[in-house]
Amino acid sequence: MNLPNAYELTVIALSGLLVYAIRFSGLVFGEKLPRTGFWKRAMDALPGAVFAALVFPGIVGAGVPGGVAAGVIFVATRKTGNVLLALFLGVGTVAALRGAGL
Amino acid sequence: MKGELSRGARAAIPVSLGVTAYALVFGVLVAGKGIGIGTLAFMNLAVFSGSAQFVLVGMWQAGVSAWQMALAAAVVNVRYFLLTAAIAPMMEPYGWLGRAWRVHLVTDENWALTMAENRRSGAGADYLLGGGLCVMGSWFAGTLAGHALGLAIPDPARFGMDFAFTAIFTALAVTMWRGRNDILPWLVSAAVALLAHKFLPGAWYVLLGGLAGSFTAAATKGEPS
Repeated sequence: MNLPNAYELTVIALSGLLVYAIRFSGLVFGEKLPRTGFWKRAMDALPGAVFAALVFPGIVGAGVPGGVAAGVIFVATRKTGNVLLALFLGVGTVAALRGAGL
Repeated sequence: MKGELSRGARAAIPVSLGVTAYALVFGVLVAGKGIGIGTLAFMNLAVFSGSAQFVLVGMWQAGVSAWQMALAAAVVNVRYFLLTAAIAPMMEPYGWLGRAWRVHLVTDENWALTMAENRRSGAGADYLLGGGLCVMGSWFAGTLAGHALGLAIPDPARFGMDFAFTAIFTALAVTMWRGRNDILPWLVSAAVALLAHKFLPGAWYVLLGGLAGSFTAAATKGEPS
C-alpha cells in the first residue's frame, strides 16, 4: 500500500480542514446566517456558479465532441435527474465522436 | 438510542447503493490520475464529501497550489453550512466534543433522510449518525473497488474517460440549475473562468469564475427584468 507523499498530504489535510470548518461552523453560527439580501442571494447562487466555472474550460478544451456531450448531459440530467446515467451518456458521446474522427 | 442508530443505518441502505455506484466511478478516475490507494483512503476519511473529492481529484496535477485546490473543494461545499445549521438542535444533547466528530459524518444523503424522519418521529442525532456510517461504509467500499478496477483499464482516454470529470461536473451543475435567472450569472461565470483559465495559473479560474457568477446573481435577482 503506497502512502501519500508530502504534497498529497498537504492538499488533502487542507481540504479536509476547510470542508470540516464549513460543517462545524453551520452548527455554531447557523442562526446568524443572513436570510435575505445580497449575501443570501450570493450564497444561494455560489454552488451552481462554481460548477459552471469548473466545467466550461473543460468543455471548450474538448472541442466539438465536448460541446455535443455537454448538450447530451444537460438534456439527460434534466429529463432523468440521474447524474450517473448522464455521465455515461456524456463520456460515451465523446468516445463515439472521437471514434468517428471529429 | 441504540435502536435509532441502526434504524438510521438501515434507512440509508437504498441511497447507499447509489453512493456506491458514484463511488465506483470516482475510484476508477482516482486510479486514472495515478493516485495511490492509501492517499484515496486518507482523502475519504479526511474530506468525506463526494463533490469536494471530485473537484480535488479533477484538479489533481503537479503545479496547482495546495491551498487553491483546497479552497475550490471547500467552495463547492458551502451548502454544508446550511445542512449542519438545520441539524444543530438535534445535536444539543451532546457536548462540544460529541458534536465535533458527529458533524463530520453529515452528508446530503443522511441529512435528507434524517430531516424527513425527524418530522415524522422526532428522530435525531443517532439516526443521523447511523445513516452517516452507512454512507461512509459504501463510499469507502465503492471507491476502493473502483480504484482496483481503474488500475485494470488500459488507455482510459480511448473510452473518453479523460472527459469524465467534465461530464460529472456538467451533470452536477445541471442539478443546481434554478431556471432562466441563472443564465446571466452562469455566462459571466463561464466567461471569467475561460479568461482566467487562459491567462492565470492553477485553479484561479474556478474561484474567480464562481465568485463572479455568484455576485452577478446576487446583484441582478429580484429586480424587474
